[in-house]
Amino acid sequence: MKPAKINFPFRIAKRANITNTKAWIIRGISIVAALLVSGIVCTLFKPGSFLDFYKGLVVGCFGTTNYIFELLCCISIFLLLSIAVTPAFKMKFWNIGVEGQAMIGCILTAVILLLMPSAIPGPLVIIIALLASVTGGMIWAIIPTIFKIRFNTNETLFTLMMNYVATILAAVTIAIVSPGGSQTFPLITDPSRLLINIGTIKYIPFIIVTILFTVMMYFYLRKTKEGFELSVMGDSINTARYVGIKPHWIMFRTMLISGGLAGLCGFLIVCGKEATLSKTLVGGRGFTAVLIAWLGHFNPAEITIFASLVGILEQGATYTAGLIKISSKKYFSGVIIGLFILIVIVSEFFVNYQVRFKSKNKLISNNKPKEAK
Amino acid sequence: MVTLIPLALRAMAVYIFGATGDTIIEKGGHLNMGVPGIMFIGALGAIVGESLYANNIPADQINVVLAIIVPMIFAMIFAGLAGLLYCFLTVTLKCNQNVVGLSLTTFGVGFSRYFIAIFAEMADSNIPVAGDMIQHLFPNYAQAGAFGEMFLSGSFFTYFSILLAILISILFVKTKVGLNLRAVGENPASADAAGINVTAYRYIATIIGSMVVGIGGLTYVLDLKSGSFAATNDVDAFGWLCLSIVILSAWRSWITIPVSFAIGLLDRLPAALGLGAGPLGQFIGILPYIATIVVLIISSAISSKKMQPPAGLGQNYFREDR
Repeated sequence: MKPAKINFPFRIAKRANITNTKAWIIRGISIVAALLVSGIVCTLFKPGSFLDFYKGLVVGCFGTTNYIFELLCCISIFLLLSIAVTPAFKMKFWNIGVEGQAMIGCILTAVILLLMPSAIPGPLVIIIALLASVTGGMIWAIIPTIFKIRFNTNETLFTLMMNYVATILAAVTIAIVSPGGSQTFPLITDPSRLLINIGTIKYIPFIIVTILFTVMMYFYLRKTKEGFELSVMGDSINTARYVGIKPHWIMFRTMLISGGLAGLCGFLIVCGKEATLSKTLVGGRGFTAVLIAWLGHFNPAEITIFASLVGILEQGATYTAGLIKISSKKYFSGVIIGLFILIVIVSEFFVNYQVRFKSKNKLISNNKPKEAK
Repeated sequence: MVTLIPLALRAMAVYIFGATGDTIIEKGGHLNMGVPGIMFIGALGAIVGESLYANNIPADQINVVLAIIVPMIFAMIFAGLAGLLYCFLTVTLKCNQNVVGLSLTTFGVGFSRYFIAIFAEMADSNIPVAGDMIQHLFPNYAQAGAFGEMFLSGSFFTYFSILLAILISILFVKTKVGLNLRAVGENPASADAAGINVTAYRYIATIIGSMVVGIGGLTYVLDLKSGSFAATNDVDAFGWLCLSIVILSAWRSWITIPVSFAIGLLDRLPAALGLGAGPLGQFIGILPYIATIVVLIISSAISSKKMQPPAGLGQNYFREDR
């Protein structure tokens, strides 16, 4: 089999460097393009709804105070999970398992909040649940790490499998706890054990904790020695060894942070939002968070931007689907977010690579030395 | 036992198609986390094809061969296009494979669920008829007694999947094309130096692999779910398991047959034992994943060369990077 030689009219070259402004112009264009395409797709699903899509986005996200806090909470889940994977990715450790690590946090929190005897004061129960879920997330993250350190086991596949183990453990827990085979976890009703509202404002604890950890992660990665060690390890593990960084210890320590944050997010999802447990509580948002962290170049500031965009699309698209009465509206936001991420990923190509069109003259002169000016 | 094995065989076919397709993709050096999405898109293609066929034909004129071929073509085109998109992003645009794969899964699952729900609303009564006709390749299987009930009651897909897995295995070991593809997956730079067109091989392997994965989605709808569109909601769970089957079978497609059968059995065991949705029944679902983890650990611990993933798995190839 002799492959045909195709002569493309352009060639691809890696950019040596690109200014930040230029990179963000490219990204900005892709984000606008993604939003336009989403509107067009919406029109295809329901003719004549092009403008309704954007109206839905705005009203569904910012229409009432209630919507705004729903939105902030939605963004917080994406943001906190992305922040959790960021330090691991920074050292090129593919922690796809954030979904499972958060799920373990959810399970432990839900069980502790529900089953602790009512004599124990609420705040104490919350603290126990918090510690348990953070530890649970850490354990879930540390198991693949130990094998990665010891045997160099592929962490991408390992953490991926740990997700499903966690999801099934949730199903098992629900089956054990749920009364009479109803397959639904009872709602936690004791208000002293929940952190959902402060006054009448919803989800405030969740949002505050997320902002706090995002800012902390920003300084951790930018301003501390530990953060610097992560960057060195991500760039070159041999360089790290030469300057005296112990890669195994860094990996261990970082995955504790990563898993702990994911467990914290799981704790907040149950204690600060849902007050119950279900198999779909994290619902694939761990995977989306991985994508967000990558799109944001593992920089908490950029991650916040992308998490906000995805959060707005998630809530806005769901609202739009109800507004223009699309059938099967439950799945509409999935289509839109998938499209958005795919289009923004493409922009990364244009940031990293340069497409040069070959003109006929250039093809000939390419091999000649440049004329002196 | 007589009822368990046929059910396990049906589930097995879905796993074999998914895992074999993914093996082809991974042998070319692509860690494709988009498999669940591609499988879902394949299922959507099958549904589109089956609707077009069954809705336009009176119930008594439905032909089994056409009722298989038309949706199969659609499933392959849909899944192939998804594979092409993945390949364009990873090979030509050199985007990170994990990221593209995960986003393709997000997109594919959302997209397919959305349209399948629409098709389920307007499903024609002919479609279950077509599904029933596909269920058994040998209509007279009962005459062969218990053996027939167990092993001959499968659909066309059951036997086709086994045949395909063996053929693909032979292709990898015995033919030049298979050898070249393995070289591309192990070390694209050397393959390129040896005059193998890395880009072409990666494109073709991914697209063909995706088509096979798409047939897995088709099998899920038409065979496992008897052509019921409304029941087509957890194709992605099967897709994720396919990724683990590829690891369990150590990147050899013929081993996917016993592994898929074992996982098919595990799938059906809780229902057969009457455990239903109880804790123990749910817990059995963990076993395939635990087994995958154990195999991952063992294969890395003894660093057996026969059980390793392709060395270039997950890495894009760009000539200028050498």
